[in-house]
Amino acid sequence: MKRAVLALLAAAAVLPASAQERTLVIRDARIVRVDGPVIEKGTVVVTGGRITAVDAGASVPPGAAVIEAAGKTLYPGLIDGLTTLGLTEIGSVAGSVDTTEVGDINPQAKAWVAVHPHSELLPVARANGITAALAAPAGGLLSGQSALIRLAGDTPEALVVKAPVAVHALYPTGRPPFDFARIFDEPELKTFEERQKDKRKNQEKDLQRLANLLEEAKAYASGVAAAAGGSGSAPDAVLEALAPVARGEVPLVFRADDEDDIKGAVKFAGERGLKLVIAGGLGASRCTKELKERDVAVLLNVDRLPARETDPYDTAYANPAALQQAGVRFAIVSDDASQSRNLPYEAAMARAFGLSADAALRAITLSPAEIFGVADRLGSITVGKSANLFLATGDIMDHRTQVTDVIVDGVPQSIETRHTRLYQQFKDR
Amino acid sequence: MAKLRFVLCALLLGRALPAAAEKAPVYALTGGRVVTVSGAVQEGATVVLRDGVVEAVGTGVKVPADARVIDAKGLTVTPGLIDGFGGIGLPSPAPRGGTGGAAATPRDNPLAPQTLVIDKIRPADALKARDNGFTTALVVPREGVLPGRSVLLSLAGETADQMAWRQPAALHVHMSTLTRQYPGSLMGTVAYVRQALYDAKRYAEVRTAYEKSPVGKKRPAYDAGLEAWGDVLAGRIPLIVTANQENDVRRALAFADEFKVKVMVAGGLKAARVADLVKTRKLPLLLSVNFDPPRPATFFGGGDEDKDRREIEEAERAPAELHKAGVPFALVSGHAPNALAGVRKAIERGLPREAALRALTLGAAEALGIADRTGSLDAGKAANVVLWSGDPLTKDAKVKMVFVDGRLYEPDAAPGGGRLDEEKKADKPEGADTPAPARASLPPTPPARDASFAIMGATILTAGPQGTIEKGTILVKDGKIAAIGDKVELPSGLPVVNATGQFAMPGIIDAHSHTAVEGNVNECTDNVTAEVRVADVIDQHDVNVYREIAGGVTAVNVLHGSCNAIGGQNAVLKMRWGQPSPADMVMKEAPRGIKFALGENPKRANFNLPGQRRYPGTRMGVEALIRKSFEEAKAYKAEWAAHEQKVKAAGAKGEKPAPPRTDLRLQALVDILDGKVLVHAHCYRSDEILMLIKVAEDEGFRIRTFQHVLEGYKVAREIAKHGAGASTFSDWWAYKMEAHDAIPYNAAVMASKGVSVSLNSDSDELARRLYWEAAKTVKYGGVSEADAIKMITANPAWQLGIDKYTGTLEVGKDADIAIFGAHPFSPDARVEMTLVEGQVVFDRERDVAARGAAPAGGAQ
Repeated sequence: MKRAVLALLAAAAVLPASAQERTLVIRDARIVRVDGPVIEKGTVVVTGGRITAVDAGASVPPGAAVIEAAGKTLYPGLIDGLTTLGLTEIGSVAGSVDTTEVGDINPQAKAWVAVHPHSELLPVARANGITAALAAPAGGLLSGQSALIRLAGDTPEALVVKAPVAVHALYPTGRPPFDFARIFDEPELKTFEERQKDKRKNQEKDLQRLANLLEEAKAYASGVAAAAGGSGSAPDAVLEALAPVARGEVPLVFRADDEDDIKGAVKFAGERGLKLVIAGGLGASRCTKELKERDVAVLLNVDRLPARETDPYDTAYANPAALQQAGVRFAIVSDDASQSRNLPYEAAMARAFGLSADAALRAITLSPAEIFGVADRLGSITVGKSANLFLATGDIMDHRTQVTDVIVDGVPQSIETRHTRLYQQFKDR
Repeated sequence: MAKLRFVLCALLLGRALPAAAEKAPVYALTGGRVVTVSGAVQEGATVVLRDGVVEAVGTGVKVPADARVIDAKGLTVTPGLIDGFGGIGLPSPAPRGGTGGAAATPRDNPLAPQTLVIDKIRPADALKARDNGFTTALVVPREGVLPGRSVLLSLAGETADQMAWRQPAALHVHMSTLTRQYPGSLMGTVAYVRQALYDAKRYAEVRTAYEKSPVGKKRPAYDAGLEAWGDVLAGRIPLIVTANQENDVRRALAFADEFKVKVMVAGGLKAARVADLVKTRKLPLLLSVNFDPPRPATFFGGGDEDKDRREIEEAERAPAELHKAGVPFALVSGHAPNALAGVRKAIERGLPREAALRALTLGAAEALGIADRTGSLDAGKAANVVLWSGDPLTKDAKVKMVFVDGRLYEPDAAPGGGRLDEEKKADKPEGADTPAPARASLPPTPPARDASFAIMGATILTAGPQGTIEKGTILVKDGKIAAIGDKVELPSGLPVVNATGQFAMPGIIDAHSHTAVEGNVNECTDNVTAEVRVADVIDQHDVNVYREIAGGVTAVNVLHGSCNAIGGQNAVLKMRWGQPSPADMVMKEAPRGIKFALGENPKRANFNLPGQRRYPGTRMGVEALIRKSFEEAKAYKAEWAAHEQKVKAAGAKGEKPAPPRTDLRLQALVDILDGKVLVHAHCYRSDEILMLIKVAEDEGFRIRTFQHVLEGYKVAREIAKHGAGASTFSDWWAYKMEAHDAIPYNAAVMASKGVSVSLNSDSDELARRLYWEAAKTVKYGGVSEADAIKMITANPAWQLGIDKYTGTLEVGKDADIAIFGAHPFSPDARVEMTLVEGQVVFDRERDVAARGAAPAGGAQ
């Protein structure tokens, strides 16, 4: 029932009709389509929030608003495939943070319920070309359900592109869970052997909990189906959220970095027929075989230190190139909120360490759209897709490049932010 | 407690001696295989024990008429084993953690050199160690930083007093830290010990002067802790430093050098790395076989299991390696629950069994300075002897008889039988837990340096007066830039680095780093900790040093954390990767510096524990605290000045007045007032920036840099007027309340008002891509590319006071150079080579080649 409502919401982006109705033309831009060759000078026509023409010689329909883009580059809006955008405002101020629910089993937590449309962080990311982001709950063992949001809109509903996208979980690391109340406690002293034993035990325990929950969810769903129309047991939000994951309909995004953990996650999902996506994936280049075999996509954060002293210094930087070479699907993500605006620079780092420029751009546009099942609507400059676009003074992966225009669903957005406002206020003081 | 024991001792003196002190029979051990340790093995020799000492040893020795003869045929006779550093006779440690402390037993004072471990000995437990062949033990408290003074026991007698052979035997420092209590960091521990030694020295001087001439002097206060140090300062007992990290050994030697005390080192799990140092300094080494000591199991870190495995393996190999290097040492239990298993592991890892036995007997006696009385089977030494069936220190060895001070003890007769008690629990095939080999290799160390060479063909971004040089040449000579330009005459045959098509810029300088710090970067237990020094805890092997040079970084300012209004003293490092000692990393030419912190962190806004609020809790308190600290510093300075006056007035003949206390904390503040120490002040909000400027100008010191300074753009004029630099993040924001007004235009705005601006990392990860952090200032605020480069080179060099040496590519400066494959601001920029003082510390080609069998993912 709820899912049906959400599907409806997603289908009709709730945007002011008037803004969308007006035809918009971006003229004489260098068009980086992503799903096809670059058009060195061309025009894109947007009608009703969608791209209706991408052409070297498209004409301007009468009454259309025109953006003269000669000398500029037009990109599809970037998609940040893993963030807490909308769920956090000021990291250390608990009242402004809604990323992490209490307890460790929270698949019922829905990001789209709490995304804050008026967060200062959304326009900041948008001003650098990010037009969509996966807003995902964090923490615990089962963190909650994510939503793909557009970075423009006045209500949570208006933000949602698709929800749920996935249920997010942390692959158990076996380490003691973080407990703020105990950070100044005297730690327990254990030998390496004892620590290893604890780790294996904790990991097994948590995986078993997950496995049991998924089984229960399946049984619960068939029970509900059998009792349809009759009086079933009381609805259980946890199991209801997990049932589509257990059936392999909604992906499980498992956060795992260590190669053994990634392999463990692939095995866990494989044995149960789950649709798996790996988040983090620091060790992914060491298990490309497993990932490729199961067609598991990876959400990679590039700006990270290696896990081990003995790992190459560029482990994370070269990760995307290694996955590309091995044919593993991946997206490059910020895995953050305030740093989301730097998404293109993570792609640049991947590029400096062996990923082609085209593949790097794809990793922050079309690839995440494919992974989240919205490639029919987002991720490239293609006729029929939503008009999420931006204009830049050059290569978006170059730090010196300015973004001059951002368009979401055909509507030009302000690129003013809290930062530009403060800059204006104080630069001449 | 200790005093009470002495009283009891005194009372007992008048009474008849207890039974245990009665005379033991004379023994003759005949026919055994006698391993004297000091000399050759003697088959079928006789050992005579009389009156607690060895009377004779040899094949021709006659059995005295009054001797009880013990047939030792088929047995091996060795000196008794010595545990030269362990917990024999101490109760096992109380379990830690877990329940949150509700049921925790009260722990001993962890900072109590006056503690006497003899008070805690459980005689019956101590005697059990004889089951394993131990006859002598140095008993050391396991926990704490200054856990007290150890006792050397001979394991015969009924009470600790009867066993005591040397009391007190040594004063101990464990190079460890405390929780919620100073010292909470390794650098704090070093500072604490130094201060204690200063205090103890003065204490002794004052008391001696008083005893000499009390007239007209106030009675000096008694202090049990400082009194305890007196034995160490007078050379009566050694200071034993538990040093399980490589640099702990160096820290121990630093104590010895600074305070002229006799130092020994215990633990030494990584001592093989400093074998030469131990040898040349003749440092007595009590080498632990507790190879996998229990460590904190926390939710922080601990992800690098390969490293844990390597460290355990390194510790297991240390005895063999030190032996090979000819370094004398004692093998000690180091509080291991099963010391002999550890000894066997060391043997398995290559330590000859004879050497192991020596290290447990004569070697231990030598290290402890008791080789004149025990450690070998020689006439005149204590009658401490073990009879073994099977070869000693093998799995099959059984202790049949033990003599301590000539008294016989037979494990077989004891309850529990002759089977070694300790073996029962942890029996498993040895070698079963052999660690898996590490997966890849550590980063390569640099090759030998060419004295002169040239880098040719690169576009050179000098960050100096020469601007950009197309297709330029840099001539490097003895680590310095000898010539630079588009036309440089080169001597023929000079080695050349071909950098055609590449970009060379000055090595990047990170003005805010916490890289290469061993232990906690915060001494968080007090609100002013100016006495702690980051330079005491530099870890030259920190792999992040390598990772950062791979990002073109050649110098970093390693700062204390921001936990307190006035934190510790920083260290400026040159990234001389591959150098053996931490001192090689510290840039000696750099002026001293210190960390201040304002705002949320020093007031512990985000880190307070319930019921544990620390002053200050507001920005008002931070201000008041800094002012108060400087007022105290001025009073301290005045006190010393008055003292100098008095000394002068007293002249050469008069009695020297007692000096004021040397206070390392206040002295550091005085050094700030005297302009010897650069102040680097962590701050966020504009109001607190203005506050500190006001305080500094009132109190009479200067701020060299504001760090982070995210609202610096609001008060850039005032910062420029004070003359401070600003070291900021390019675009961090939204992580805490005081970063709410952070804007990426901050650097540009401050620079436009004349502030020297640098971009820092405060992060081992971000430090690797500071070149792109600089590029962001071009985007946000339109800084020119040349000025942007200066924000990670020339400007931070000035901020750290090292601009005479580095920060630009100019003749005469250090050849600190980063070479990129493309313009450092471009999206294809990657560091190909980094040089520090002409030494190639990073070379991407070599790095990739050295990965060897590393799996895919790195190289391409």
